[in-house]
Amino acid sequence: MDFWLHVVNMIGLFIMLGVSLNLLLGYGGLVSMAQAAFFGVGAYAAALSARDLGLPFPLTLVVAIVVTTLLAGVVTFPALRVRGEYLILLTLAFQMVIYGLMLSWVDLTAGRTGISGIPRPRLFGKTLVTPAEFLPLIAAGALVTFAIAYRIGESPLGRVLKAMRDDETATLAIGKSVLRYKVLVFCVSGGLAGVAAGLFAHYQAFINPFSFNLDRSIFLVALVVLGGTGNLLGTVAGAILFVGLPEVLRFLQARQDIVDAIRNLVFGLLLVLFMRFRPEGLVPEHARGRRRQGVGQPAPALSGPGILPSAGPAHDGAGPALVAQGLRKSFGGIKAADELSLALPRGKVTALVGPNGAGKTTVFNLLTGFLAAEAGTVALQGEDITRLAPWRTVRLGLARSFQDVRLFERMTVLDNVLVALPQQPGERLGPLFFAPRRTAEAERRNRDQALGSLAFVGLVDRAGEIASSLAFGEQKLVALARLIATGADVLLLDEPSSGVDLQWVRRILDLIRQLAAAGKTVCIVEHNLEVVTAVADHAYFMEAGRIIAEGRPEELMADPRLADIYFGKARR
Amino acid sequence: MTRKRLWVGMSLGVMAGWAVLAPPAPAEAQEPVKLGMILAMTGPGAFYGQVMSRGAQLAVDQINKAGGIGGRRLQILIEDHKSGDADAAVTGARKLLDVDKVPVILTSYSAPTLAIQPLAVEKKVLLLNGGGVGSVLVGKRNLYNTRMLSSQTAPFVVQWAVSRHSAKRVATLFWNDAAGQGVNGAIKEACGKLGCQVVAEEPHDIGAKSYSAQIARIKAARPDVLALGSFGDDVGYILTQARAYGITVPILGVEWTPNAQKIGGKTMEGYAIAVDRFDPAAGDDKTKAFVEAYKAAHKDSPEFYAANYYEHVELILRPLMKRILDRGGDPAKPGELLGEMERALSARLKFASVYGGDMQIHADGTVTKPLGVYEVKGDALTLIGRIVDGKIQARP
Amino acid sequence: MLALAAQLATNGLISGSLYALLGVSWGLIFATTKIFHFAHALTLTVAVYAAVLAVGQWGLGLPAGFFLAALVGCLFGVATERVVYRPLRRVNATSLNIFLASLGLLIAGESAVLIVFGPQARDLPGFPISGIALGPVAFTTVEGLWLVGSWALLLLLIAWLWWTRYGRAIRAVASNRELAQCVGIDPEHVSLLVFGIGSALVGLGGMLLALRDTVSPTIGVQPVLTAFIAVFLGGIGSIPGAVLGGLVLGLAENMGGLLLPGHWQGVIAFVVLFSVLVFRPSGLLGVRTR
Repeated sequence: MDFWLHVVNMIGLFIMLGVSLNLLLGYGGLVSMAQAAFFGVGAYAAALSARDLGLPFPLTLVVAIVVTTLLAGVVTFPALRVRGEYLILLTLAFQMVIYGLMLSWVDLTAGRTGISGIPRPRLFGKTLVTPAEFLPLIAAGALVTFAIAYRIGESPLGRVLKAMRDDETATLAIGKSVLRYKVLVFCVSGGLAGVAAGLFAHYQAFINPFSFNLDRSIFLVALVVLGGTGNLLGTVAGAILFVGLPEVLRFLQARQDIVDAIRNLVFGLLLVLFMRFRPEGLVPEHARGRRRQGVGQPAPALSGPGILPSAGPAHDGAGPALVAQGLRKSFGGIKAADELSLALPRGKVTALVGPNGAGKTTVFNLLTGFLAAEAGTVALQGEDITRLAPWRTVRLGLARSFQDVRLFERMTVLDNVLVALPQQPGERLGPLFFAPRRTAEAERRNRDQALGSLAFVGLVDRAGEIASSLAFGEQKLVALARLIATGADVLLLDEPSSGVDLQWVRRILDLIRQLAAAGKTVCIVEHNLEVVTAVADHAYFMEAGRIIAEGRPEELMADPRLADIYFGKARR
Repeated sequence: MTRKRLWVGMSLGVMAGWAVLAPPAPAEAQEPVKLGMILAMTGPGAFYGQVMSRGAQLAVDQINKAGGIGGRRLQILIEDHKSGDADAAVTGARKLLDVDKVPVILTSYSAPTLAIQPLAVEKKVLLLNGGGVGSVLVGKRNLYNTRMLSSQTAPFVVQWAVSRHSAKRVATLFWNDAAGQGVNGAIKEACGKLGCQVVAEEPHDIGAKSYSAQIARIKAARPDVLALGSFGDDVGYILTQARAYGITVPILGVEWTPNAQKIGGKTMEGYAIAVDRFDPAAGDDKTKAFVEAYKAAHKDSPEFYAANYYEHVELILRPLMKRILDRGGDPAKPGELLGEMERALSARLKFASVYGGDMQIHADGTVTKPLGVYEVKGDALTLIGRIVDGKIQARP
Repeated sequence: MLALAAQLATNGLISGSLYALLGVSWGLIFATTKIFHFAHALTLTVAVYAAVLAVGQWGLGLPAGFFLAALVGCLFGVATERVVYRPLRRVNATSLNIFLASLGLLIAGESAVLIVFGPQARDLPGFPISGIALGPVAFTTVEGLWLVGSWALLLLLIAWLWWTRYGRAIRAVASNRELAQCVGIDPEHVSLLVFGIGSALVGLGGMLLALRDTVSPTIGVQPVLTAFIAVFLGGIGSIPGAVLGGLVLGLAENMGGLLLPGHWQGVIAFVVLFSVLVFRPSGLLGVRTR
């Protein structure tokens, strides 16, 4: 019986590890090949503090958690600037370095020999030795880590993580600091791994580097992916299947030397097959039964300007909402912006027109801080925002949309809008765990707000669907709803009507007019001159990084010189 | 319930069912006594696992063919620690202890042995190690090592270096683990007593195959001799490369295997070791019988890893089991074999050794077997000195 | 001290040359197809085992073994592309998923080799190992072959890439896949070509390694990890970069022996990789590809 209880304990430990990695990989989209290294560092921390510092059990666990959390936090910084394969390799390098240190820094870790004789824990007057005695402790650990990860994953915080996973740039554009969330998820992931590490060290009473090598990291990644990223129940299923089932194979009494090889063969084949036929894993992120945020209750009757939230302090109607002076930016020899100045009048729609390559999107990037200007200033409601990071300018009331829409493809339509709402207490760890009622209430209010935004663009009935399943035109409307949800007063729309046919264009224009009527300042980049004439009050004409004309759209259209530039010497 | 959940549930059900309904042991008049083994069956050390299991299995087959011990047959159950994975060793040991309920485990490698030792204490199971030589294996309850540890053999390497080669400067190259570090430590200590200086200490990864950096540093230290704390095939690779890179001084060590000889070839000439040596050509009748039987079964001549595990079964467990049966006990009961071993040791019982003659097992888990200094001459080891009363007596 | 430095530098150049070969074999595939082909390690293993079979068991000569390794490697690599990667591309798999599939293939393949051939390490016989001394530095005959063999293959490859039509086609696809299609180059064919060449090269590299090390089912992993480091150090997308990366890596690992004991070599390599990724992700000769 002890043998099977041991297997259950190992499953419990792997659930903890898997859950910690799923938060990082499945929710945060950060592929880490170093989870075993964190596990190992925590285990050594616990073992060494028990052996050399003489700390008793619960304290060694705390040491393990603290050490892994700090280490994970530190690793975030080099990991910040790298994506995709680079992140995989970076974490792989980190894993190998840590493993090498464990092997070679013999004075500290005793190298290959490992650290033995780790004292058994004493809890409630009882010393835990056998698997049966450890089971309640490990089960409790698994439950707690699962609960923490679940709470985070299924909360507004989890929502931001998923957004970050799907599109980092768009996440910045809705006012969330990607840096903070990356540090946070790395630290939490490390800390949860630390729980498993501390328990493991005391359970085995012996650790050596072998348990924390690259193979283990790979196994954890595979376990999470096969179980189902973004779904913690999938990780539980994965742990049971991939840790528990092979132990059954032990009893096949086959040639001992190939039992493990057979298991690995099956495991490897499963990986390949799953990636081909079922990449979402055993238990997918949006498994049935989880879409509770379907349409459910209808939104309250919503229309009109009252429902559009407003971020930042209220502003009275004097002066332009956004002023840019002398912006300059070059790429190599090309002047993308050359002494560019413009002003967006409050409550009006301004258009930015010009031929391809004139630098219109660059202007948006400069205004919002996605690109750093070499010279010049940008002032929002009179305040200088030139040096601010993009996510901060959103909080102050300036937001932009993207030419290529950039929805969070794997999230639902409602989530796409919800995540953009500002000041959600559920996005911070403190309120999430210590003020659950306030968080839940805020979430209810925010949900109504989001539905309101969706109602404004006419897509309430699509709220529960996955964003990538919508038609392009609908996606543009969702992006608009998301933009509105940020509460920004100044909205920069990059080609809002491109790529869709006439009925969509009319809908979008109508919405733009309503926004302006509600007091929002709108600036659109446009190619379609009919659109410009239909909706804009004021227009700027750009060419080669400079603004060469401004005025009412009709005036600009009538100017033959501009027509030449725009159409390339052809006649309208 | 989604189909996937159903699938998962069914798999769990199958697993649970299998565990509960696992086929019971065949109904025999008397169950065989199960001997557990935890070996390196896969990984870089797979060779060791193979020969160790061969040695033990040979003894078991011989015993069973002769009708068992007092009518009780033997059965070997092997688990794999994958060349040093303590987790795998622990899981394997748990299965052997909890499910198979073995009364004895034959183990190998220092780290896995250390890892399972507390479990053995808990279940009152005897542990016999014939492979690992780390000094950490001394004085552990329930554990008896039938191979002399590096700390016991290494000092004689230094003695030999000083007396035969007048060495003042000694360089060491050794496995980066307890075994190798044990040798290195013992060498340093011995040097301190005998007046030589350790001018270079170079650990290397087990199975590294390339020692160019270490050898370069050793060369730069200009030693009089090079002492190795490496084992198995590595010895052959080290000798080859050391000679190729221009190290001309004598090389000494604590292990030699026929496979290393094959690998090193001519470069092994002159390599000298201080070991408790198993010589298939020497020894007594027991040795000859073992060597012939092994050759008949496996075509190769056995080396000491196979010999040690043969010895465990035939010359340690067999007499212990006989004593238990003679007084009416059941050797398969946990604690019986362990208790009998402890009783035998306090009665200072001598165990025969397949090396020839007897071996003395001590209460602290170490063993004394005849030690000697050997040198490689033309592809084979030749005895060049016996160790008597802690001193080397060189043969003329 | 000078003699030690000279020896370590020699060691570094020698291993660096082999690293360069390994790096190029992988970097060619990665630059052209953007696939993180971890299973390259399996190609090496399979190629070397084929040669071990031929030389050790069927008694063919060592040169035949080399040829077989290149051939088997080439075929295996091409098969991997057709059977595993192309179907994944057809279903628009993410690069993470392709990476995991590659990993799964490696795990499964290594296990299959272990089941078929057994876990024991094998030898590649037939090359006499003796020492060559050049003044204060010495190296073995195997290492001499590494030096000569690696550079011969590298120079051949570079010449081919620069001066032949197929070579130019490969460089075109590596630089801009869509544009290359516009001028009539079929990227799918080019993919097969680079998989074939890269896999043949890694088979040969594996053979050079096997002359010194023993052959076991996991022989492929460490060399391919080294290849990653060489490529990222030198700058992905650049063949000369991979060569430079391999050399620098070999030198760094070995010169580290001036300060650190030899068993830290592996750690040094990965510290190098880590630093490159953090401080200079584009590598030493990085080429910005789309």
